[in-house]
Amino acid sequence: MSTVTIKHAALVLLLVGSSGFTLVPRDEVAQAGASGQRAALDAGQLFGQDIVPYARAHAAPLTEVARAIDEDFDAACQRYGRQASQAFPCSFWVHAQGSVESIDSGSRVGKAPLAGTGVEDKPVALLVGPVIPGTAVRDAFPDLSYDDFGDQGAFARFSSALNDQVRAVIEARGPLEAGQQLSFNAVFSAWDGSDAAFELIPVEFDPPPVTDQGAAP
Amino acid sequence: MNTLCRLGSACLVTLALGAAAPLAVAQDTADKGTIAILVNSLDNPYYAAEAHAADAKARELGYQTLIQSHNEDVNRQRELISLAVGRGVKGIVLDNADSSASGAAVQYAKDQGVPTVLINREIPQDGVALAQLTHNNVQAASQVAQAFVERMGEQGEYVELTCNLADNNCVTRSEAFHQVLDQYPEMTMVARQDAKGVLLNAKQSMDSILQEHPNVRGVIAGNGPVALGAIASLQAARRDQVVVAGIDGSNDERDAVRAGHLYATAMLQAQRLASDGVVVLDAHLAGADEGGPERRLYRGILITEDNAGRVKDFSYSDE
Repeated sequence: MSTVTIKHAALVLLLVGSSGFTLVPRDEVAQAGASGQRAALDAGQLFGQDIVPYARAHAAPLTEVARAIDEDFDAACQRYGRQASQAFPCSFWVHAQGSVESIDSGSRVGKAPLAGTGVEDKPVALLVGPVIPGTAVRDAFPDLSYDDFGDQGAFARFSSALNDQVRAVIEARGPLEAGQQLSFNAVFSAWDGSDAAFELIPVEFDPPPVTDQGAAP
Repeated sequence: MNTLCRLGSACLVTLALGAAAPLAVAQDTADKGTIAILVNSLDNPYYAAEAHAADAKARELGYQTLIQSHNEDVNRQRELISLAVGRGVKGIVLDNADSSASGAAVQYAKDQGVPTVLINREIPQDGVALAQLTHNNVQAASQVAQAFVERMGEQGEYVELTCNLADNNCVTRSEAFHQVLDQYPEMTMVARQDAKGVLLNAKQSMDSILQEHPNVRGVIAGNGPVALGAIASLQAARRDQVVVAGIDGSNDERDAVRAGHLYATAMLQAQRLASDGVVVLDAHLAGADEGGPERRLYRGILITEDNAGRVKDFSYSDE
């Protein structure tokens, strides 16, 4: 749905239910937005039907992104990431592999540090909940923009709903154990690359192999 | 010399901020006409920083400026906008008096051919203002709340002092606080009061709360003055170990962070936002399609003792 905004999507979902997408003229979309139909967007549907496939198509190897960030954060953001404006951190879709070193559940922001990721200069951890902090999933998906919501609270609630979908992905994967080998697509965000670690939010475990080597940022 | 006069290096007319006072004029050699800059109380350092930055940018771009305060009075705001329109201003930079009740005044100016750029506070209507520039309150409040909960060890009794629940920005911050904090079941909010954004109210509220809830371990505040009011109360009660967090990033908050009284805050980029508002207005007046979306957000920068030294007058130095 790269050509539609959330206003479009909300209206389309209302009009055609689950039967598919139909682009509508911008003036109708504007009317829909003005009448408060933005809230009709379904986070679960968007996550499953749009965001996960988008991540598959656009995730770059974590090692490649990490190297690029080391060299020049702004250039890395431009090449691999998405930053809607300076009000948001830069968010990166990545594909990563590694083995679980341990499960750190001392905080509700649970983490599974990973070994063998190929990233040498920074620790890498998978965020496993139950608290998924931040808005990286929302911010990394280019068809979601604040201007389409026009209300910070609604925009934030939609991000929380997407993080709920991440929790569901983690729960569906089942309990992690030390020594398990993982392969997953994930997202993380950063303001300037100075973070002490890569903390990855998974959106899909064991994604299908990427057949298009041009999977580009 | 009053506040208005300090805002402009060549201020010609400065009068008291009372309801009957005519618009103050800051003037230089500009010839591109006049921009009105209307903000809340200039006694508040945040709004003073906004007005200062907008004034400086406007004069740099060749405008004269009219600077005035509506003191969060919607009627006063309407009068000021009418006066500004009557004086033939080219445009208005407005931090409005009430998010939900200011649309009509902005529409009036638009109907008279005077574009308005809103800063800090948005209005619900699209297409009325030329642009709406505001802080990413959710991002700022979420980062503050995450820092707060980590400092609290994810457990304990805490108090929320809101800044002013008639202000949508404050409501948004409070919602963002709770989107984070409510995910921690061992964090218990024992009291929540609206301190109206005022230091003294916050101190008095906190004085009472401490009597009733002596085991409070944290206070999260919706703006800087409220956080500082809570700190004043806690210091008087010798409760220096209570974790306090706020949002604003004023110089006073910065100093409280450096002194260890305030654990964290988020600095709102008041100067940048106000200055950019003038740039947007100038581009429009020049007939250029500036091209940005109507609603634009600005990051709040998390401030702790590590970077507090970079804060000055709601501006952040990267070096």
